[in-house]
Amino acid sequence: MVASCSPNSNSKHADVIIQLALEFLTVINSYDNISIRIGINSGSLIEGVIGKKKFTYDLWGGAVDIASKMESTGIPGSIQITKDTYKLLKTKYNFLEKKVHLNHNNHFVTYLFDLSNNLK
Amino acid sequence: MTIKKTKFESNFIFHDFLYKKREKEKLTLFFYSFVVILFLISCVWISIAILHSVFPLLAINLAILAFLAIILWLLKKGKPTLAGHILSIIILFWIAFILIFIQGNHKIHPISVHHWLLVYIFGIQFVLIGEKKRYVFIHFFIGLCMFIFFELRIIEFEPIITSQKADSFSYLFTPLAILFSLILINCIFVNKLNKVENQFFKSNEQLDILLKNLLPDEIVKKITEEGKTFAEAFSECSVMFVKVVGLEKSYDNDNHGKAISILDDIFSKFDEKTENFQIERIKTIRDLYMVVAGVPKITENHAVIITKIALEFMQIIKNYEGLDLRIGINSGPVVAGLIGKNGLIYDLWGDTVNIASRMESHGVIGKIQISQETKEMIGRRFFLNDRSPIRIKGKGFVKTYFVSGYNPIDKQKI
Repeated sequence: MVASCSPNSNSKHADVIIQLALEFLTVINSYDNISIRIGINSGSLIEGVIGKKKFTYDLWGGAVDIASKMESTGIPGSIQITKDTYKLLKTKYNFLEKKVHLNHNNHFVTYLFDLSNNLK
Repeated sequence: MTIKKTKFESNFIFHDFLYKKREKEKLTLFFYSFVVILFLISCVWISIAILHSVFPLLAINLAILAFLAIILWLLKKGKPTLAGHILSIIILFWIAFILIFIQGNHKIHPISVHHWLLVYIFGIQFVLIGEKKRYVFIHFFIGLCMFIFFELRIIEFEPIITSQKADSFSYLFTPLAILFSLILINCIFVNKLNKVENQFFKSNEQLDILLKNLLPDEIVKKITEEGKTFAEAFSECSVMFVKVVGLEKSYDNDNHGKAISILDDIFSKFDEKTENFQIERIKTIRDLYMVVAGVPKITENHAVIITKIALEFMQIIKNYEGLDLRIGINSGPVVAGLIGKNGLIYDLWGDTVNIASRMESHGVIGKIQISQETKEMIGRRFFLNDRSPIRIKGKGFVKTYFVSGYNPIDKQKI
């Protein structure tokens, strides 16, 4: 789990995180039989350190849960992003639209990073 | 779009940070007092120079005043090391100036002022604390060369101002002052050494506390003795996932700080319980709390202990209105260890962990769901309700059970 913008505010957070995701994909390419699923979402969250023992820095919020969903419903070897992140990045990169089914009738519009033709 | 950030309170302060800050403040104070003394002396010399109209003396003292101004400016900008370099130049300048003007340098007439250079050689290291060794050495070397130059009287010259009074005064006063300065430097050195040693132990202790906070005690022992990260396989243990349900909505509201403080409160209480039972909390992932029994300390009745804790957790959450728990437990083999270069987190891997997580995610709010493996280990110590087989990703249909409470007949045996 990676977050950009916290705790240091960064206005180009979506761009930074997608660059990192691409780096991760190139890293994982050098290992056989292993691939990664990447899911990205943008929004507001809460950061903090909790507990009495083993306090670790963690993030909470709806945006974090959705990002986790983006990963679990994703395709190995690709980057799946939500509409919110898409809005921040659409001028810079190309994306393919995808639908993710949540329940019987509900579905989510997501976008896959176009690895073959990425720069606009 | 602007990014808003709300800060949390924290009361964990590193002593090292405070120590460094204090030392820097002290050094700055020392410089200020030194500058003031030099300034006063310089003013006295300037008035003497004007009275006797000795212009070279006036020029030199004005130059020293200029240097002092630079030091003050550097101190204001927060650069004490650079100020130290200039201060050292001034001191050298000063000693040479007194030698040339008052004492002169000839073989028959004994001189003593150049012994100040010895004080300088020892003292410069304290003025330039934190500076690179070679820079300190340059000052040291210049001081030593000057001392040898004056001591061997390589070039002889007469003093510019000949005053019998000043000469005899400096001749008497200088050795005493030098002795005093050397004692002072010695005291500073011993004091500093004690302080540094103290600080070293203090910060080491703090590091130990931090490490013990982050990792299980057994693991801290291992890594401090062996100094390596590692992973171990355990043939049997029980893993439990606890999810706090009911906080999701409050994260995105205005009172999100309150939601986190409630979570902090709950997890702190959970931590106290796990500590009482001597089992390990592995980590928290957002509102998910992960515990393991039987790792890294091997315990026989890990499944019983963890089920008991699950029931205790259920009691704890009853005090919080609108919140509930979803608990999943599974038993089996795991691999546990520390991996990664800088992410020093003790974690678990294996199918057992995945199924435990599924037990939680496919569970029912307010209930403790356990797998067949765990059920076989806890025997008849708890009341169990059957659940119709549920489908689990990667495993197909599995039989699970809900724990409803202690079995009163066997309660004493637990």
